[in-house]
Amino acid sequence: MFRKRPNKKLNNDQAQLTQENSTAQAELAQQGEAFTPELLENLRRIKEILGGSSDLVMTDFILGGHEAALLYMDGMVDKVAINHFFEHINRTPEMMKYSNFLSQEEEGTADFFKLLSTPVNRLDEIRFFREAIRAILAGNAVLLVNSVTHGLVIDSKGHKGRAVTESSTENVVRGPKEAFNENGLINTTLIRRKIKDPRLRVERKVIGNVTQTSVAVIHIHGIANDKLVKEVHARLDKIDIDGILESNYIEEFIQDEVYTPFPTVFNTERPDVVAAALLEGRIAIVIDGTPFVLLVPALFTHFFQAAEDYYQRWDIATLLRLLRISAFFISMLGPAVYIAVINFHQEMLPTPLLISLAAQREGVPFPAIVEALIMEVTLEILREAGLRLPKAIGQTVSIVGALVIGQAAVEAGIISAAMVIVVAITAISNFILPAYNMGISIRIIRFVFMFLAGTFGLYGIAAGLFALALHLCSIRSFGIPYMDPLAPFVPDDMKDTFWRKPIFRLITRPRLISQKNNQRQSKSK
Amino acid sequence: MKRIVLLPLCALVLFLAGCWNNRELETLGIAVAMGIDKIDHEYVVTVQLVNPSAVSARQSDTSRAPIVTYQEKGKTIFEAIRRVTKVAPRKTYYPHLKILVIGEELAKDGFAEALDLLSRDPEFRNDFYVVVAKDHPADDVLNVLVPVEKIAAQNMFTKLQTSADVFAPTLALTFGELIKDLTSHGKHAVITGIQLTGDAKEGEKMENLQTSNPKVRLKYTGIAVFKDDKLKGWLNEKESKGYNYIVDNVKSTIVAVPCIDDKKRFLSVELIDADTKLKLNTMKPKPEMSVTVKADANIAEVGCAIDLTKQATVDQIEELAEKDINAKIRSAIKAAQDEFKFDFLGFGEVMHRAEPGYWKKVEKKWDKEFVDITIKSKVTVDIEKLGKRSNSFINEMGD
Repeated sequence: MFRKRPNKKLNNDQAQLTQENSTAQAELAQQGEAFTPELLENLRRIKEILGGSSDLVMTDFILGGHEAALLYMDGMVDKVAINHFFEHINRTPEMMKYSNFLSQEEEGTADFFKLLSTPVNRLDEIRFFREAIRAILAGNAVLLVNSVTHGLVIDSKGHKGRAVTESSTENVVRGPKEAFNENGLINTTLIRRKIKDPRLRVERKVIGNVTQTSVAVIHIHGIANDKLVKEVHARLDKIDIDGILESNYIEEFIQDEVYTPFPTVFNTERPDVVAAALLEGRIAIVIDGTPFVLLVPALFTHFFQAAEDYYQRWDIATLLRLLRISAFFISMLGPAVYIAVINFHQEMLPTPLLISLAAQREGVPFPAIVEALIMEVTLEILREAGLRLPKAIGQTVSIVGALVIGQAAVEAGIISAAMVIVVAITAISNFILPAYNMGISIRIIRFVFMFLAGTFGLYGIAAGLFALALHLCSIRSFGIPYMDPLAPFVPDDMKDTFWRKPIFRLITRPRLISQKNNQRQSKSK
Repeated sequence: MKRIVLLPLCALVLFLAGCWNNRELETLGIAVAMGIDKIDHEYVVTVQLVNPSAVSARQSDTSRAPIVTYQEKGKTIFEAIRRVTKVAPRKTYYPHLKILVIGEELAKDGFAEALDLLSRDPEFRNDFYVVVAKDHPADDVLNVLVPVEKIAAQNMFTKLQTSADVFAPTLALTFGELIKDLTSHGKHAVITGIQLTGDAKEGEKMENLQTSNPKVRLKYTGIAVFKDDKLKGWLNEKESKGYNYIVDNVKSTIVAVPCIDDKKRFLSVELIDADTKLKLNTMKPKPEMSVTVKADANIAEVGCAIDLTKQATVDQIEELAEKDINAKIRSAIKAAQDEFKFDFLGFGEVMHRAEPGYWKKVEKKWDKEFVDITIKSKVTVDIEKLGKRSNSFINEMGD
């Protein structure tokens, strides 16, 4: 599947390998200063690095007869977790035995810290200021003890975030309602809870030099294609940016094709969609700080599959999917075909319709294409305004605005009534698409088609569709042809493309994505 | 970078074409009917345009006439059509043409030369109907305002379609079929006639629309028979029907037959499906051809007391209906063989298919051969249903 650029990728791998070696050494050198045995000096140093930020909390106390200090960022830690930790070590009887060892050899510290560990909180030993700072900023607490050159990171991230709520962008009538939130850890958990299999692999990395955003790459080992997983990691590792605030930051870095209106990375806020994709052999990228999880590879047909297609019976799902595909074409070509027909191919219309349309056009001062542009642009403005406004007002603006303006424009004789109908149907058709980003792409393409129709009529539309088909067939998502399974044609994968067969007939995984371990269920049933 | 420059350049190409052939809807004069006459070696073309705002359902302006006609002369049809632009406010647009009316004078002179433009110009389709104006020039027919269907051409179009479908003495002949008939050696063309009743001038006024019993009407009458492209005469209703039986053009029609014993009263038999086969029976000693009609029928109306519950009665009615249809067929054959003396019934095409070798020899003089050919006819009517009741309530009324 990487046949287009196998050599390049191989070289990349080698380059990656050597790069990794060198970065490891560089990192060691970069770790910089280690802790000193003087607690006060350590504290002063940390304070200095953080520039005396007011939300840094330092508490002094005596631990095992030694001065100790706990450092954390106010509001980012779970204080209950820290309290538990201290209750635990105070209850440990061996504590006193070790009261003297701290002045001894450094090796002893390891045992000491082991003693402190609790069954639940994760503890990490650290030696450098840098590590301490990173831990504090991530929301952990750092324990420093006088005369010890090691610190202890207590896992106590306790940021209060949004609860797991219903999805706001991908609604279903039937199906799980929960959606991801901004907490990357909770998001991975939601996925893990759906797939309880040891082969589910979560690999974490930190991207963003300043934001230090944690990114998790999730795949099912043995189902996902290894080369693909490697490729995802390689592309993520190449990202060098100060901050990652939303998954689109990553999407734009890792997508195959930049000069295309079509999305080649899928995003969703539904754990069930991610789980289904993982089971198909696709790879999920969970980014801390956004509820939108990326899925790759994303093919053209994926954007027409709604979660609910699999939660309603297959005949209904098939019908809905066909409806969606026709809505896709209406949404893309609606105004274009209308313009072409009434400007160039009037002979195509039944006579009564032609006369009725001609009567409506009487007195309209603009050519049809201008008329269509006015309406389309108005609609886009209304839609965008409706999105940005507070929820309660937003709906009023978009619906009332469209209706009132449409009605008024018709009465004023600026726009013909038929054009309002065409534009309205087009806009509604656009909403039927389950993927918002595909919807936007179609909106852009619609304008191109309108110009083509306005200049060349149906001939222009045909030429445009031809170019569109060529373009769609030329792009790839992580090496997988975008139009798979239509081009290249994979007959077996048609089972879940235009129609959806009953679930017990969906025996194999999409052939090109997984490429191995294709069997989903035994054939005998 | 190259791509970024290339894209706007490609976009500019769009505007180079300059929207060729772009016509806004409101700039079109939608022609729905066209009439062709010939006066003093010049064609007179009458074009009936729709006035959309007077027709449209929503903003219908009833004070204005729904149609308007323009007339111009020219040495050729095209010249006349283009000359129409001098008087018409918009460029006439022909793909929606519904009906072509040929004036009787032009029809008598031969109209083939007038049709070339219509079959050549891509703006004309070939699915509009062709009729001949009887006793009137074509423009009189096109000037009439008619009620119900606001557009006169649409009125003529649907009227012809319905009467051809359910009554059968008319013939809904499209332009394409006419051209086919004109070029065929085995069949001469026939075209339905249209007639104006009342004063043509009165029919042009809006008053004609405002009464429940319009003074001026358009009516289809009989079938005009052409030898090549020249009008030779008219078939009456009986012969017209016979013609339609022979060319298998009858979908549904009514046969009125006398009540079996009572010759003064009648009952109607409704044919619901008629199927005609023309056949060459034998070549020796002389060619003999035959017409076989098989029809399914219902009893539609009974105007006398007869006992329909008896199979014998129904059989008798069938026989009477067969006789009636057969008489119509014979009259059409008689008209062709004795009166006009050429084949407009299509027997030549049957001969062509059955005996291509013989056809080659007689093709040029087929009309002469045709006159002497024996044509047998056989009609079978099969009555299937009696409607909602069997015997008429007349039976129960007593004498």
